[in-house]
Amino acid sequence: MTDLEKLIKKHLPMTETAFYILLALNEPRHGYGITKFVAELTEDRIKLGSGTVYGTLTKMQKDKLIDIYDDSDKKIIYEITDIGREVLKAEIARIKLVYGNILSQEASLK
Amino acid sequence: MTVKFMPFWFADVVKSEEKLSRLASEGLMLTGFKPYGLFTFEQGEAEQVRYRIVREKKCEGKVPKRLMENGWVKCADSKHYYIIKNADKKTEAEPSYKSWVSLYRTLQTILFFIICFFGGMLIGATAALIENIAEGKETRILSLIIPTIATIIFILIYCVLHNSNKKVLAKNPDAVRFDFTIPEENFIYTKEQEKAMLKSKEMIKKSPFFWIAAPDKAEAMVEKMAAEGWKFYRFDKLGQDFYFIKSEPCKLRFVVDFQSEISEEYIALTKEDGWKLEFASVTKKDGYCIWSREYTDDEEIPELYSDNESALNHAKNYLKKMIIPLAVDVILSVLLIIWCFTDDLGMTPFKIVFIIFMAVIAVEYGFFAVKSIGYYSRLRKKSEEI
Repeated sequence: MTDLEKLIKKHLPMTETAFYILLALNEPRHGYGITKFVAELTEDRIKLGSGTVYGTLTKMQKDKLIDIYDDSDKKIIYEITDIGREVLKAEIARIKLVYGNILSQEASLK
Repeated sequence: MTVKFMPFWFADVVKSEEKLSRLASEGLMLTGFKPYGLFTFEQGEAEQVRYRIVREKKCEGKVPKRLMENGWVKCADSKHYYIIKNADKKTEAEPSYKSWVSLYRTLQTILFFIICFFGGMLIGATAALIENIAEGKETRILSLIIPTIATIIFILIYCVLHNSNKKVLAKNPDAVRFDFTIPEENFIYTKEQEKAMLKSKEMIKKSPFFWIAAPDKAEAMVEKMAAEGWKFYRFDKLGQDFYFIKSEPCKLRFVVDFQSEISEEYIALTKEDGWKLEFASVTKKDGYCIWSREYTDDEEIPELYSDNESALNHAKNYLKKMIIPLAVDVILSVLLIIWCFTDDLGMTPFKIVFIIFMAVIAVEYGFFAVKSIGYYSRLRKKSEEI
């Protein structure tokens, strides 16, 4: 098993919080920027707590899913790495599969 | 190729960076570096460049993209360090000195305890020497030499690091200062005004004993006081006394957050999310911060953790910070009591006092450990409900 496969196995299925944080880092963003992006994208359905964002970022950085883009300010700006992008793509593929299954079975639900 | 050995380069990083720039202006270009102090240079054309030695635990020699976009070029790297240079005097992205601030502070704390240790030895040796002289016994001045020299050397190193820390703080003026427990801006009133307010009962003080063993009870107490028109004003410097001022009743969320490391980024992020920092523990490693945030009837109750995993992690940090040290203290006290009863030295008055003292510690810490375990299980239960 390659390192990437191991990471995919470790992180999938992702929690909604982790998924949106990684998705937000498709563009360089700092912690609060992530919170705002996720709130806007989900129309305020998901309001990330600052402790949650900080903890998830630390964990993702340890696993090299994200990297520091700029740390010249006290607000560190992060962005997704190539590894992180692969993990995110794998999660998107998984969600699509689940969604496809839902669509095919939805009609039979009473 | 020229090799220079500078074993104390880290003691004053700003000075070391200036030295690298000076060598570059003489045509010696840095090409290699080892953290124990080996710097390798190649002879080339003289350059007017600025060097920066960056220490970043998680970087593994990787330079952040934004720095490279601003003209910073990597010259050397090793483990948690990289050295970069730039010909421009100022760029939009400047590497931060914050990890140096944190390193110098940690080293200063360690040195403080070493100085206390040798200082204690020195006091003890001096007392023994005076006693021997008074009793006309043989005196050995030599026993004073080692602690004296060690104390002086460590005090000098402490001063050097203190100076270096001042330099890096001056270069990083926007950095969150960590030499506080209560942020300066939280002191709205002068000491005299506070005294007068306490006297006129416009301000009250509450000191729940060892509240840190059950922080959720303290949180609830502060939130209830705010709803009753007593808004939290500030802590004392040790975080034991809670001061409240008379105000309009309001909805306040008050939380104690345990972190494995209180970083500049953590404080900046939480502040930006609308929280007010009320207190930061003296220890920034495995420490805690206390936050407050007002909210209205239309808003949801603000929380620092919005997912189960991070909330559970917070509970684990509490376990590490509080319960484990308390349990270790209880076990040590009990072991010392057992040792007192089983040694062959017999019971002396001093030993009886010592046993009583240890028993009080064991009971007291045991009580707090049980209270802390209660809080930990409540935290776990709460995290499962998210």
